[in-house]
Amino acid sequence: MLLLFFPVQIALSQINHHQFVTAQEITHNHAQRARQYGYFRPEDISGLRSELARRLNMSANDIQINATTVPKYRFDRFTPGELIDYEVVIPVRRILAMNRFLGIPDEENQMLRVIKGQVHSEVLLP
Amino acid sequence: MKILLWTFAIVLIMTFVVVYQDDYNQLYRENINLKFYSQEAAAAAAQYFVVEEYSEGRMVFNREEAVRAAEYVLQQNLKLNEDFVPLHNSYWKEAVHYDIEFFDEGNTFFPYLYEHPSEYFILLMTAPTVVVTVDAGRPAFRLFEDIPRMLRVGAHTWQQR
Repeated sequence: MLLLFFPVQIALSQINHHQFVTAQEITHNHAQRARQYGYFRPEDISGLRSELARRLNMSANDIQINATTVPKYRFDRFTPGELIDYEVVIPVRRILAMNRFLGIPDEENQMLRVIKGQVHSEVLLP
Repeated sequence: MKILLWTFAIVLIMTFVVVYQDDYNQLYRENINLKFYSQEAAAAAAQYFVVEEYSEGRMVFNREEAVRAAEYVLQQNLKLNEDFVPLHNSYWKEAVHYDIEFFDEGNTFFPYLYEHPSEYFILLMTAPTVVVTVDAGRPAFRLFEDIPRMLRVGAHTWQQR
């Protein structure tokens, strides 16, 4: 019974890893798109949420997105305050396989994974 | 008795497998991050140019502002302090070194065939380009020591339309 844990855990780790890599790739693409406009427009944020929900197979309400919604501009001198921030939080529903067998309750077997970063804006001041 | 010994050996080997899988996957994700942020640093650096030269029709990068922007991007996103030493919540364990090269109309004639010092890739530049090379040190594996250093290169070209 104990030996059953290992193949299941290997599969589960691989699934969680693939989810996170997909989420990272989608978020990075959307961040690059946001650089063109200087901020995350409402349609960008909803597009990001729906694409994450579709490709990660989870409902759109589980995903939290915090991003800059005010336009940021580029100047001749480097200004740290004028960067576009984004933060995407993905829940992981199961970290360890056979958790109840090992004595870990379901609530402790979940976690939230954060993808966070800052990018420069490419929009000139109008 | 024989079954017990076999079980013990299998459990040991499978534990190694599970731990190594986790380490390797985490390194894979952090490598993707490293690639994205080195490209982002190059893109940030390529935004700053010398206004006086631009007014005469030549695109020359403002080295000072570009280096400040690229360093800020790397420090914030790889979670490093000002000396490029990783903070306690960063994945990387050794001090990160980076190298930035500017190819603009002040020092290069385009098109220019650029060969990266690591001989890993060749790029034909047709417009002013910034190349950022980041050496992030050895990754944090729990079971092995001699892992190669992680090196990523990002380049961004400023193309006039």
